[in-house]
Parts: sequence; structure tokens; C-alpha cells
Amino acid sequence: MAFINLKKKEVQVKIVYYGPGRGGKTTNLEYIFKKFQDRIKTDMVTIKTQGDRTLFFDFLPLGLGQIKGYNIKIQLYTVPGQVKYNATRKLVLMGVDGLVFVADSLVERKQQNIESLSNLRENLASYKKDISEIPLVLQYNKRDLAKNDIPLLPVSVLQEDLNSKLNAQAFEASAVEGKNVTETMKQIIFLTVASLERELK
Amino acid sequence: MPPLDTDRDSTLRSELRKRLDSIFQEDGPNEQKETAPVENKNEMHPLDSLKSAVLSLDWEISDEVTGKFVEQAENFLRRYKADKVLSVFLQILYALGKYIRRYKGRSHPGSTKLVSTTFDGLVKVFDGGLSESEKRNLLNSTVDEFMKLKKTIIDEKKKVPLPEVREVEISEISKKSIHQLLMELGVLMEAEFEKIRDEIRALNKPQT
Repeated sequence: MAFINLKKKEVQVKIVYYGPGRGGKTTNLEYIFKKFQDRIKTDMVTIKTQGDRTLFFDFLPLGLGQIKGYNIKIQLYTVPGQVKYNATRKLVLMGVDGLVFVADSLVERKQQNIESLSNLRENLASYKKDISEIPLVLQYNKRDLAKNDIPLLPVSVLQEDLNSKLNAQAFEASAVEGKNVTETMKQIIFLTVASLERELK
Repeated sequence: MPPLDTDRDSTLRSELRKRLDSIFQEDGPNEQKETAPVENKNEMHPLDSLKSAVLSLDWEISDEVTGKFVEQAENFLRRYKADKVLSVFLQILYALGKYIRRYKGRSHPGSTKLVSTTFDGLVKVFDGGLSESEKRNLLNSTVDEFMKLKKTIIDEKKKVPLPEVREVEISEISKKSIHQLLMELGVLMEAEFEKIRDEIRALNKPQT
């Protein structure tokens, strides 16, 4: 649940990037941080293992300034994608307001995507939250690999596997090239803050 | 006379869009061209699946198409239930979908037309950029259209008393089923309308 301080007119929104390991969640945040570092004027916190994998989470705070008299602050988090770190994922999901599910487009990651989405549903359910009621954007990452003749899942398959019931907005993206990384982030911020419209009147 | 305060009229959504576009503009002069995304967006609109169900309904009224449409409307209703304006549009679509699914080819021709115009209104509200008063006007006119259609359907059904020459051919069972059908339709539309009226009442309630 977003933290809304009516006295200080401040709103804090938590957005979590979720998805299978090595799917590109951290790369999304790194791209945003590098690209807009001068404008957002904050630091990105990241805790990695020796193998350069996310161990705990990445955290990137952003300020949108005043909108309708409220100071809007956004916190972007990633979770470790590896199966063994479920306790951490669950912890990071606590109080989540919006979600980006970063799916891996590689053919051999089809099952991991489905399992990760199912894991997300389960972890949300433990907080009595329903995935269909939380602002959500899907990102089909690594689309750039098609140029290198690496077999990718067609978007229609990804949509069928992950989005047939959810009907969430989806982007084809390449986090390493920055394609649609900003669009994904803008859309999830938009949907999440807009979902608080009633509370902010 | 003081200048109009356009900011006050603009919605949180449109302000938010503008702010996000200004902070995260990727093609600004300070951007490094080599890291800017270069390819097309291939963006899918969140209402795309509902749009495809609306278009299918316009083309063909079958069990599969109407079932899919009702399912889509219900999914979206669940997703956007916190947004009062969007949920009224979606409730109208859901109600029309259930009506068309039930009566199929016999449903009033105005019902599929109203599905299209209601969906167009939903998209306009969803995409932001409308002021609160524009949203309210759009919503009210859609609700009015829905009420008008409901009244027309009920009135036409009431007028149905068949010509005398044919009346002798209709058995008691057929009369009973027509009567039953009319009652069910009335109850269905009334229930949906009541729900929408409650939403409108809640929306018109002054905020405290």
C-alpha cells in the first residue's frame, strides 16, 4: 500500500521488477539510472554476489516533484530471480504498489517465465493480494537477440503463456540496448500513481 | 476577470503523463545518442484484448465471441474496480455483453452499436487527457444511451402482442415463455442499471 502522508502532502510508491533469474531486471534499473542520473539525482543501491547476480535487491529512488500538490516519490526495486531466494523475493514484495514482470524471450526460458509468474501470484497471495488487482506491466526482454539468430519465443506465445488472463500492457524490449526500458517504467509509474487518484483528491 | 486556471481543470493522469514525459524524455539534447532506443515501440495497448473482443462482436454474434467478450469485460472490471469512472464504462459493457450473449441474433441492433460507442468512451477516459468535467459528460451521455436502449427494449417487448390472426396459433406454453423472457430481461436490465446508478450516485457525491 502506498505511503500517503496527507500532512506533508507526500506520496511514496513502491514498484517491483519481478521475473526469472538472468532475465534483465537489474539491467532495466541500471539503464534508467545511467540514462537519467543527472535528472533524478539519486543513487542506485545494489547488492550483488561474486558472480554479479542480484543477491538481495536493487533499489532506485526517483522523485517526480509536485503533482496536484503532492510530492510524488517512486521507489523501484528488483528481486533476485534465482529460485532459491524466494524468502527475499517475498520480503521485497511487501507493500508493493505496482509490478513489472520482466520475461526472458529466449526459447529455453519459456518454463522459467511461467514458473516465475506463478511464484509471483503465490507470493502476492501470501499478502492477500491478487495479481489481477495490482497495476502491472509485462516486458518481453532480450528481443535484440533475434539479430544474432538466437531463437526467441514469438510475442504471441509469450502473450498466451503469461498475459492471456492478465490483459496487462506489454512491451517488447531490450534492456541492454535500452529499447522500451523507459516506456515500461513510465507506464508502470503512470498506472500505479493513477490508481491512487481517489486517495489524492 | 482572472485568467482561467487550466492546471486546476487538468486531471492527475494528464499532469502525471506530462511530468513523466518531461523527466524521462530520451531524445533531449543532453542524451547520448548511442544509448537511446532506436527501434519502434511495438507497444500493445492495455485495452487491446477488449478491443479485439468488441470488433469480433461487431462481426459475429456466436457463443464463443459473446463468451469471450463477457469474460474480457469481467477481467477488466476486476482490474479497474478502484477507478469509478472506468468501472462504470466496464459495467455497461459487461451488462450489454451478458444481454447479447443471452439473446444473440434476437438482441436489439442498438446493443452492439452501444458496445462500440461505450468502448470508444472507455478508451478516451483510459488514455487520460480529458478534464474531470469532460469525463463526467462522456460518462453521463453513455449512461443515458444505455438507459434509452434499456427502455426501448422493454417497450418493444411490451408492444409485442402478436396480431390476432396469429394469436390463435400461439400455445399457452409459448405465451408463458415469452412472458417469462420479458420478465427475465426486465430483471436483468434493472439489476445492471441499479448498479450503474449507484456508481453514478457515488461519483456525484461531493468529496469530503
